[in-house]
Amino acid sequence: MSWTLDQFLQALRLLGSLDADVYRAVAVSLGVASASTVLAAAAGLPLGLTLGLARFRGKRLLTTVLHALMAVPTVLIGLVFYAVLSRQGLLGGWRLLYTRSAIVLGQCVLALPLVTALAHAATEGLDPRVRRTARTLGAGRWRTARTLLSEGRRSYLAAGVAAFGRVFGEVGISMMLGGNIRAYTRTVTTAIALETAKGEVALGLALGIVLMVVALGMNLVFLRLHGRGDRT
Amino acid sequence: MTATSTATATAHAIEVRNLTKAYEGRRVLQVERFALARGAIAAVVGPNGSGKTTLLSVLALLEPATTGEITLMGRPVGRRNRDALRRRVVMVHEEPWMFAATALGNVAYGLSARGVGRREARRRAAAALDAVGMAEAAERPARRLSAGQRRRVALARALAVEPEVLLLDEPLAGVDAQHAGVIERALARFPRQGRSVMLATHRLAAAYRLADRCVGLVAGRLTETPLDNHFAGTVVERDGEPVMQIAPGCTVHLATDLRGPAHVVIDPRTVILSRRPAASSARNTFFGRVAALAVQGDGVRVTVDVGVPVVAQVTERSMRQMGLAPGQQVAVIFKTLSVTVYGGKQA
Repeated sequence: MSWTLDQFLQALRLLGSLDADVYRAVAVSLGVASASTVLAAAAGLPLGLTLGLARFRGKRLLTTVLHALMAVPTVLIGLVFYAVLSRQGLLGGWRLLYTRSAIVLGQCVLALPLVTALAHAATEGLDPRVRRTARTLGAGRWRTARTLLSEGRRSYLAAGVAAFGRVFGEVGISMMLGGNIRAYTRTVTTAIALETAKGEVALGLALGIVLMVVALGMNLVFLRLHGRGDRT
Repeated sequence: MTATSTATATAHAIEVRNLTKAYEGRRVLQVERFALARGAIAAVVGPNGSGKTTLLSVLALLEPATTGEITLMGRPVGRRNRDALRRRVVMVHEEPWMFAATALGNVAYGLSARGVGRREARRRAAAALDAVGMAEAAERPARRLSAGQRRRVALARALAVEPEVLLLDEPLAGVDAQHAGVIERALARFPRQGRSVMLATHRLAAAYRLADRCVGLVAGRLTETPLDNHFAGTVVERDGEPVMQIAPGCTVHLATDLRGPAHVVIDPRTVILSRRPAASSARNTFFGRVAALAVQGDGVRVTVDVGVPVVAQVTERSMRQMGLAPGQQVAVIFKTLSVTVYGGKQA
């Protein structure tokens, strides 16, 4: 008990003396997580919207598969992309392994089912009058889609927030595809894993606190956007 | 406007043939023929759940018909021209959705969807809001408006795009008397511009006041006679009981608190025919001769002349058992509770 407490107290003390490496890791984490969230949203929102509006055979099956994909462990996605991106792999020539792009790619795949499923749910949760009103007033396909996204922006934003949270906190993909290279692909989570493995539990905990603070900050930013959507 | 010049040959804004609409195999709409003339205001009158909203949605091309043909402005609706034709028809829902914008922003929506520039769209939207008496609310968030105000904004939103056909679902429900007048005046301007209006309502009085033609919709079927057994008159009290005289010597007993000028409708399915005057609890019994028999759907419409024509809906079996034939003397019997009273004022 006293050891644990000691580590925590040390971690709090370390917070005041974190070095540039830590800030670099935070920057890398934020950078890759933002990029993969934006990319996953760019694909997942239209997909979820379409899935929510379209009627076709096999829709239920597709939805079930989508929900199952949300449970795929990050380490599995990391492994699959590792096999693809390794020098001898299918896309080895792209020389992507151990780059930030590789992490973004893997995290996109992680976030895509989540964004799509949540956007799908958001679309089905929208009042059916939104679409009908847009269409009867003469909105074409794109305009209608824009209106749906705008009217349901709180739910679609929530899909983005959830995706960001998922990729920002994951470690499997970052570790396997990024390689934990200092000041390049080292993220906050891989740094925690490394420090803990080295026995620097207190430093790991300090990094964990940083991770939580940054995550909280990002969610506060989203909350502001949320509130803005609320007022109109 | 080449689109309209070729289509002016037809006098109809809407034509419908053999239209059906089914949800999961359950048929909710069956319209053999219907036409709405250009510049006409037609009302579809029917009880809640009779398919009015579905009919308007199908005509607004918001929902596909299961079978049948729809012709808008002389053009048969097909897969290719559906989107283009949809822009010439606007439906206003009973409880309109307001976009998360100001009232003005809502009214400008259809214009900007048509590529009208922002400034021009706002100018025309402001004019449309003014036409429904909502000019002061232009900059207010539409969702903060009262239900009646939202309706007027929705009407302005539809008027702004100047559709050739306006489809209104229960346009006067929840609108107070003063603003009902505003809406009526806005609608009255419409036909003069060669535009057509079709409105759905369950309020017969409103239908007769607004429309120059009324059709009935009962269980998804249109009847060209607005509604069978529809009578206008005055509800008065006689021996402490509300009654309405629907023809000389023909006074219907009612169960209502309403008094004064009103419409009554007797559901034909609840009208009983009898060869002999029967001793029953029903308060209304009239004698007359069978004027007409017509097979309709899965029953027979029997029209009995009791001074005015009263329609009874019976099964073919009971028609055969009674040996009903034109000219035959029968008693027409119905309960006060099968008479629905519209209009009038609380006693």
